[in-house]
Amino acid sequence: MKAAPAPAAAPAEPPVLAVDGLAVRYGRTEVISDVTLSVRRGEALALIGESGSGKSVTVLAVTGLLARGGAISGGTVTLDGEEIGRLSERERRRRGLLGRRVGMIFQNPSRALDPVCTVGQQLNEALRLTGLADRAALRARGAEWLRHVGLPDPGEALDRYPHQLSGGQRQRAMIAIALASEPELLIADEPTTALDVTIQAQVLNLIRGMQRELNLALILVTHDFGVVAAMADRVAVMYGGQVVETASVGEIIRTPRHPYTRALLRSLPTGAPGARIAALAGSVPQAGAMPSGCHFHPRCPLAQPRCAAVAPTFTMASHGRLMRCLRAEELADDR
Amino acid sequence: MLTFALRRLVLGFLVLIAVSIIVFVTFRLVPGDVVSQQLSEAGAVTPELLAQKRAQLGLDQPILVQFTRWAGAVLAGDFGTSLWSARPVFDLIGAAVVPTMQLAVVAILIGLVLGLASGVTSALWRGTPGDLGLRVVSTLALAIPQLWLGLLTLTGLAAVGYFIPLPYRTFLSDPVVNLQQVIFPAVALSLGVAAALSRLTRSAMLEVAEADFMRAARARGVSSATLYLGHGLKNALIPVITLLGTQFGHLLSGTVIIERIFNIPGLGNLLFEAVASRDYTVVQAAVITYGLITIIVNLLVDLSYGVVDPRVRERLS
Repeated sequence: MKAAPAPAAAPAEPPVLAVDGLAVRYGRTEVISDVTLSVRRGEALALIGESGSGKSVTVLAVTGLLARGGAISGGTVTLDGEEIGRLSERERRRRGLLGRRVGMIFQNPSRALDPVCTVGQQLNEALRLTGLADRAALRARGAEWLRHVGLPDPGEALDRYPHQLSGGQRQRAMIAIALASEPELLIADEPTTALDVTIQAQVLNLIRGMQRELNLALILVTHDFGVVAAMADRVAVMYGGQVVETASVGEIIRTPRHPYTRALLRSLPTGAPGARIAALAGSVPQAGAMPSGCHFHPRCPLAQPRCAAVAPTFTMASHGRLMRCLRAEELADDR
Repeated sequence: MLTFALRRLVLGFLVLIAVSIIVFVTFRLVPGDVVSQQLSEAGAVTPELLAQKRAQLGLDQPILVQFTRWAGAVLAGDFGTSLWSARPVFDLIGAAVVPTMQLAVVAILIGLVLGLASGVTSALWRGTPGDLGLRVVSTLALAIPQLWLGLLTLTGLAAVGYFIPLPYRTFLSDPVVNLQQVIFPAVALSLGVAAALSRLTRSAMLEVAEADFMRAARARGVSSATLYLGHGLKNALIPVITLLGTQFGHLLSGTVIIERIFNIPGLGNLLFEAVASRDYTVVQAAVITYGLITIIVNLLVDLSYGVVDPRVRERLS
């Protein structure tokens, strides 16, 4: 028990990560144009949207791991009050932004683990960032992490190669590697997409459990609302390279405001036998061919002529919801 | 692992049998046999004399009989004697194989180091003038024939006033002289290997650089050296090893002409002279030795996949 409890101060605590108006270009193509989000210590933020909406690019830009040719072209990325968006990789490494302060879990653990290095060797790379150097100590701590993420025979698993583990075990190892450098911000990019359905829940529970236990700021990239409900405190909904609505999980699920969020929620299977799913027609526009005005207007059931001409900004509506819609004020009432 | 090696050895033995049949038959089809060569310096050569000498050497027998006789002896460990010097072929080969193997191993090591260094550098410098320069140089090195490169080395050394000491010394008898004698031909031999390895290493490194595990390694803050050598090169090494095996074959064939140019008393020189004088027993044994070396090297290459890639190691055991 701490002597000086400060529950009232909690909302005033500055976010671990704040992304403001972030834009990323690959060559001349702008792939994300205006992403604004933030996440606090101990908070899990879900970044949700269809494939191609710019979720992965957003988190790669935050970590500085954009593929060749990609670069931040606008906006800011702030970690603990420190602007990090335009730092070189060498500078990021020097400041501990890679691994030490920001950990990353990737989509496909079969491809994100080096096939010719053992789990232990890869885990050691993360552990060394904490200042650990002694072989025996590395082994002991490595095994401890593997046990922590629920790998059977952790001591033996250190000497295993990735192909000798199952898909779920690989992702557990990946999680251990991401956590071993003791970051304050954990980013999980669709961590269960490549896994069997039966073990998706286990891995998600593990990530959520670890996040709570270590009081981490977590960004979870997903396209699955089921994951969001179980995993997140807050949600940022992305569409066409922009964040279009942000709110707590409860608010988003009970009272979605943005037409896109509503459409996403309506397209979920209800579980009722024979019930039809209201699919959202069309698909996310290509990065090079974003529609004018509101990016969503060609697919929006509530679109008006002005939606094709005027680009909505990401602002707080009078009903207290941060969203990007010209008709935000009219969308106050619940569905 | 053991059964794999054994299977490869049996296969290698079959290859050797095929090689020996081919060399035995084809070399006897070459015009001018050993007897006519030996008697060409004598004044009066009568057909009777030729026939008599051929009968002495058993060359008047049908080729199948000759082959079985020879092959039977070889299987018993007897390679016969040189038709010219009458010295045991086994001793001749044994003495010649040492300089050749030394030359080949030194050359492949130089080629490996140069090729990997240049390939990795080229990949890291991708798109820069340095990368372009390395690629131009490696293309040139690939295009230059070893024969010309050897002659160029000799004349170049002479031009700067350096002459490789003669006669040839083995490494054990005089290492200083031996290394001077080996290093220049080895470099001349290695450039082609280095060039081929450099180009492949570059492309393999660039391919690996796109892999997810490279991005994941960057995400956990590994240093550039660990990233490119510990993860990148280690993964890129698999195709490189494959190429190394085939390059060794090229290199071995290159030793014949390089040994001639640099006057190294190796297998190549021995084979060259034996071919010129139609010394059947020596030619046959030398070719079989080349085959044996090639088979052993390829076996080693196959086994070394397992060292690099744990997935292969598992499949082998």
